[in-house]
Amino acid sequence: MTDYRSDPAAIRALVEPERVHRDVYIDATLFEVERERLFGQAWLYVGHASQVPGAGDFAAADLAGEPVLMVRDAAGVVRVLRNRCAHKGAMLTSERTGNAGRAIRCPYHAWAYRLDGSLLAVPEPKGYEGTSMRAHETGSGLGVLPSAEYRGFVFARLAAEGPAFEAHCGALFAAIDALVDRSPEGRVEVVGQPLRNVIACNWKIYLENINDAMHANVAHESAALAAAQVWSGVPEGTRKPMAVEILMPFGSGPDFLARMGGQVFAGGHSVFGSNVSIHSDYSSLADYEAAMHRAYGEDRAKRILAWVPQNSIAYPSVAFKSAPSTLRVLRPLAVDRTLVEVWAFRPVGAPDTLLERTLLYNRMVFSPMSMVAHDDIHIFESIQRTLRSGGNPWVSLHRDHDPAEAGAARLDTSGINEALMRNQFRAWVDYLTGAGVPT
Amino acid sequence: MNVTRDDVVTLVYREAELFDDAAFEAWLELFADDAIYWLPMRADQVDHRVEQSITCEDRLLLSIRVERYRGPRTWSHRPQARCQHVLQAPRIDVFAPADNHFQTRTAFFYVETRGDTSVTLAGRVTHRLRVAGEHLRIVEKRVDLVNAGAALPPIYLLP
Repeated sequence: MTDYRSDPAAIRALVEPERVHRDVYIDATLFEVERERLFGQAWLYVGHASQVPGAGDFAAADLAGEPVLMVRDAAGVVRVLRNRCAHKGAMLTSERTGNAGRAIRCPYHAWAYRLDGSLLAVPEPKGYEGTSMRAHETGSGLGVLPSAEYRGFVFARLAAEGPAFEAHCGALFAAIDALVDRSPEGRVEVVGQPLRNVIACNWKIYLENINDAMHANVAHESAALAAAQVWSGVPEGTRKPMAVEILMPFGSGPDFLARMGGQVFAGGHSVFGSNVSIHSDYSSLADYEAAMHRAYGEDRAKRILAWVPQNSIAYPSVAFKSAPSTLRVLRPLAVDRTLVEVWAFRPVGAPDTLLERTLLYNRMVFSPMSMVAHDDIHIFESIQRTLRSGGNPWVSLHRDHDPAEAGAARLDTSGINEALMRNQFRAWVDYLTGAGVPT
Repeated sequence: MNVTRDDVVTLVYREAELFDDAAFEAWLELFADDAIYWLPMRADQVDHRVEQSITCEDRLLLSIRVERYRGPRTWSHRPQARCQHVLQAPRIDVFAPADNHFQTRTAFFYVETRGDTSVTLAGRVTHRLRVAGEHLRIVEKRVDLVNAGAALPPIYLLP
């Protein structure tokens, strides 16, 4: 067995320019190395500030096995704290959302923390006089993670040191703008709780698929065909329902898929469907367009409404859509288990129809009961099993490879170029071999 | 049609049985034209239009769903997923022929299997029924899983 933890050359050898070795998906040691060096250093998506609107509100999240709380203090500042008492390590709350009041109190021995994470009080404090408790980490309260917010989206970094958020994720800000600017008021709010899926596959299999155009009309032919079949029996002149409008484009052919376009940025990030996407032809709403024109002026409103990337990935943890207003968060649980959260957003000031479309989309395409997701999950879980078997140990990423792409800070290419996936693995190697956090 | 309490209970059992037998077309016929099948994310959820649900399907979507089960290229149903509902005796909560409104609550276990894997779920189902023409029809089937808010594996059929 290769000891990946202490052998950077062995890790580098897993990622060739045009293929990756199966161990990246199935090796349990590599998963632990990913937790330390990739998820331990990258800016990770935590949540949206609208999940914690009031002072004392908290929302729990799991950052690749590290439980954290996003907390708003009385001054309105949102911080990301470790959900782990400094005393014995108990989780401060097992609830996913709630309000802590003015202090976070541990349910084990009642150690209490201010909303900024600092230690407020311990019971019977005399017992600590003359001890080193205050001088040790124990006395400094809950760990506060470096965090950053862009238009309400809160990211955090488990490592104390590293590149600034803007340097790491700035290339994706335009894609976040694409989501938020669809609100005539320029802000979005979370709607309720996320759909939560557990999938028996490595997180990278899921993440690569988010950029995979070529699977759509093959794997999802089942749903597109069924929708077309049922729709063909409906009397002519019937208004096309939202569900049919959402499902039919999953059958789009390779010409369309190539035209979709892709953008690749250093650090593993990407925008898939940068020219056109399966969301581009959803019917427009006259009232909404008028509101957008009033808010932004006609030219800018048209530009905002015309740019509907299919998926924009802030590597390695989150994929945004702009319309529907939704995002998916990857929360790796184990080398072969991934939790995918699917959140819905309301573009503030937009008609309810947009929210209805987002909710319908998430149910139909991303839910544990989604007929579209089933096509994918069935495949992902089979890949996770077969990669353990013998035969060719390499997974192909050959399509449209150009040796010049490796050094480029940005690449604009076709929607079917596997450069979007190769780019993820270049970042992966940089993280795991200590070449520095890619920016 | 003169609806008896027996008719109401029989329909609840029949609905599960037809689905378990993969008699999807006959099963779909039990639903009114404006019916929905709803699986919310929490027991106190009252509206599927303003927050997320695990699923909420009208007749059109249910038709697409069963069409897809039978589709020649629906690889995720090869081999075909199968299921078994185990129902507790339905309790009639509303029996109001004058209002053409009937409602039942039924606790259930549900096992779904594909190949060598299986998933077990439990909860309660609420059927709202009405007479349409000569038949008692389902207007809403609401399924409250006991773990609806938990992270769930894929559920390929319908609890």
